[in-house]
Amino acid sequence: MKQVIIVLLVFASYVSFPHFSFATSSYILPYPSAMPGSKTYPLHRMLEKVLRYWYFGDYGGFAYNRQLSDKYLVEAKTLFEYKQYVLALKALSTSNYYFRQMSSSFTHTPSDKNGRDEKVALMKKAAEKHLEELRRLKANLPKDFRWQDENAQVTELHISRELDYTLNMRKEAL
Amino acid sequence: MKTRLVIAYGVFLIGVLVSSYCFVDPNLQYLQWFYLHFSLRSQPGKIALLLIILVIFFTFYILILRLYQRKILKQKDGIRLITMTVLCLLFSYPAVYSYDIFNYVATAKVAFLYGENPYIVMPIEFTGEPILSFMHAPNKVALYGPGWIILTLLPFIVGGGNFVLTLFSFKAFIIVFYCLLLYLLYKLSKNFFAVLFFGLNPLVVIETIIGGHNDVVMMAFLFIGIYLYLRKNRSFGVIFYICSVITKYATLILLPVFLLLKYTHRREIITQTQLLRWSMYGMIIIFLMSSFREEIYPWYAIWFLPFVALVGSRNEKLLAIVFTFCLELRYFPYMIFLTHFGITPLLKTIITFVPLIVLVVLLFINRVWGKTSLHYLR
Repeated sequence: MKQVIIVLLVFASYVSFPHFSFATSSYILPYPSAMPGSKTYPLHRMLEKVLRYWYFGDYGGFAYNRQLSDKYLVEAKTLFEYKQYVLALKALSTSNYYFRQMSSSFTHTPSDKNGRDEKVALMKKAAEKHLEELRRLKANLPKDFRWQDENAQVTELHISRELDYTLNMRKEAL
Repeated sequence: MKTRLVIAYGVFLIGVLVSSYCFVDPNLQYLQWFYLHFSLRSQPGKIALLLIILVIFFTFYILILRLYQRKILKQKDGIRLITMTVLCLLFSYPAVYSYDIFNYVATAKVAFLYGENPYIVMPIEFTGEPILSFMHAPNKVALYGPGWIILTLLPFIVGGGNFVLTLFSFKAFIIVFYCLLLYLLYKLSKNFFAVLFFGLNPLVVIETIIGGHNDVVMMAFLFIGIYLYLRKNRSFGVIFYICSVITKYATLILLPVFLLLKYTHRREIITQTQLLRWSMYGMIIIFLMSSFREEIYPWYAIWFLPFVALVGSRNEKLLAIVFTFCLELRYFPYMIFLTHFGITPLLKTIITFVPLIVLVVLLFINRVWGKTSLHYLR
């Protein structure tokens, strides 16, 4: 009981006091969501697929792709920090997929549709933020990595090449 | 007396119709002609005008109810008064007290013109959209149920892309449900007083016929459901109840009442009056709970007023009349101070509940110590 009270007190004091953070960009990336390996991860993936139908329309699709592109970039970043390079590259590739979808979503949007310019501007902000994070990652990661899994299978991971590809994709969107 | 009342009421309605255009938003370019030549720019003038309209409206309402009770006014006179009210105020400018009708139009535009999900995409995201210059909550996604959004396709199509036509087709659409609700009240009560009590209540008239709030749509579906349920057409009764819930969610609170009916209908132990009375309590509870979500808006009274009209006692009806007047007064603190903060919320609470509490105390005293001067009110 005493432990419960202490935990509750710590929690209460945590939520009661303001937390300050200093962001370098006005565009904010989300907190990391469920990570690969967790029990809820497959559920998250399934929900994402279902939600695609909820986010219909040009701007709905744009919001959907942008959110997921951000989410998987954060996932990749977290996994890189934990040296889970295989999973991190997979997440990076998923982020790229959604980013590509986001930038191509404007090809069907009429150029005179109200609010289109703001969405393009938002995409550019997202690209800038992604570039900021990717450059930071690139500076701290090895160029290549030999990954050996539990079955002793060795995979050559070209981290730098993948990051360059991702960086170029974001640069093209600017 | 009767003819004079009808003529005076008609003149008053024309006055309300004309004066509603004093409140045209300066940014509403579609009605700019009205604004430039007609609008009332002084805030004290607007407040005084609205207060006078409100007081006269309630005076007529009480007078009409009393004359009907004394059988001076007949049912056909009541129908005539309601018809006059509807036909005259259908053409009034809707955004006098609240601007929700613009949100309905904007949501319909997001869904049916732009093909976006209104639960995700806000009207504000369509920069350059003309409606943004005069609507008041463009930074909100759709608040109402999917049933309501689907229904708005009809007035949106009728509007044919013309904003003024769309606005008035929304009003006409709401009024159809208002008339349907009055018809159902009569079918359930077989008492035209209930129809007059609800249909001519100034709060209902202002919020529905002038303001075009969609609460009557939800209530009309609910009453179709109740009517069918009581007439043993239970499946359709449930379908219409669901329609009501997906229009504006508030009637979800009556789910236990419907479930209770389902499990007890074979024994026929619940009477129509009991069902309506429980529903009235349920809707009063959800009405009061709305203060936890945002605040109590005057038009939320439409959630319980039809039940008061049907099964409310004399005292409950008196309380409802006073309460609806107080609810309409809630607009004034903001109009005076032009802020939603500071003293405004406190004043709103005082205006809404203090007269009601005083009346409850007076009614209690009246009950305990016999007749007081209060009987003049009844």
